[in-house]
Amino acid sequence: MTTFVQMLIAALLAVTAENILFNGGVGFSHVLRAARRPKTLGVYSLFVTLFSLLSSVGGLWISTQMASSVFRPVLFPSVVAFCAVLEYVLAAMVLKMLFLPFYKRYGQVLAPAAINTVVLSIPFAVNRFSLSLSSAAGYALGTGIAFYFAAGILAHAMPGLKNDAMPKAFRGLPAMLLYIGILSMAFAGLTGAKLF
Amino acid sequence: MRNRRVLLRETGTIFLNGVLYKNPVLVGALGMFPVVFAGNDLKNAAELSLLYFFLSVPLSLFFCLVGEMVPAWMRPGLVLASSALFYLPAAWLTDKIEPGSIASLGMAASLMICNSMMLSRANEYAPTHIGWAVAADALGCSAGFMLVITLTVLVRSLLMTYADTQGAISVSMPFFGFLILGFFAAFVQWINEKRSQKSIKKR
Repeated sequence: MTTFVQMLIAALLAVTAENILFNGGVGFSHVLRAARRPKTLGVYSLFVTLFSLLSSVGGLWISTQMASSVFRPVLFPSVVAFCAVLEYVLAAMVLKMLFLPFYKRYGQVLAPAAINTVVLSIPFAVNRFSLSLSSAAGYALGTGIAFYFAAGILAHAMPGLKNDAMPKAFRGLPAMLLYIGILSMAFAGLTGAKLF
Repeated sequence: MRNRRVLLRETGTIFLNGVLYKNPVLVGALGMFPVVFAGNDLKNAAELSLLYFFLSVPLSLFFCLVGEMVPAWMRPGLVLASSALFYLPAAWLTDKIEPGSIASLGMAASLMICNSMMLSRANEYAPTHIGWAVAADALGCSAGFMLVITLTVLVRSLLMTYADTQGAISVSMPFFGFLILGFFAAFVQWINEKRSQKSIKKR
């Protein structure tokens, strides 16, 4: 029961006060990419959640293995990245072999969902907040949910940010960046300090 | 002679596109994390720019050579694996130039491995273009990244001099980085709009 509650609390924190997207400024190029394709948004977020979960557990294990290494600051990110590659290749092969129609439909979002800053930042966040295994899993799940919400909000806002009433220079991406900035400001109000 | 001149002009155009007109951060919304997260002081900006340069140029050139030999579905994985590999000498070089930089940059340096700007250039641009173009693009993007992060630092530093302690903390937070990037992106969009109007008038 305690483990489950720990997981839930970590997930809740990942969506709110310790949101690595809005509070940490991580991974917005991928959030925008997901928001531009609302039809695949759900599957994209599901993949991000799955790979974040694998990354959190793997990162925790790698971190304990490299705890005493002097080369840790340089080696840790490389090893985490290699693990992400393995996870992606395995997932792609499993989907290709067992669920080909699904892969043909959603395969295009598999690589960006597996290889991005959000997924690779999870092990760093787990270390930074000294999370246990259950909390790390909860944090990864929460980050997946946060990704879905962020992309959903931006997808909803996109048509409005191309409004003709706006100065031409600000239409589209500039307005989107200002919108992200304002949303991030609201999240920053929850913590009041830098996340990392 | 004429071919050489055309090649030089084209290379220059690709370089300038990376620096300003099609700056991947301001036009493509790629690789924003290091800018909004660590673009707080000039030391960070210089170290991250160096790291980006040492990582992106060899990575792009490597995928210019081998990119088309790799199946499309496998390429993103191989790009990340190569980036993780190239990160080791790049981090060593950056640390050699600025001792202690990798440890002090922490997560900002580590996540350069999966910088979306660098990965997309190596995955999509490099395999389908000639070496000159790829080198010019990688150099242009490096210069473009350096320009954006340096300007962000300058704006933040300027505002920090007039702000109280709480204000200075706010300016250094990621949300403020996004607001600055929004205005920079608008400026680039304005320049591109003027350029297209000028070229229409010329025709």
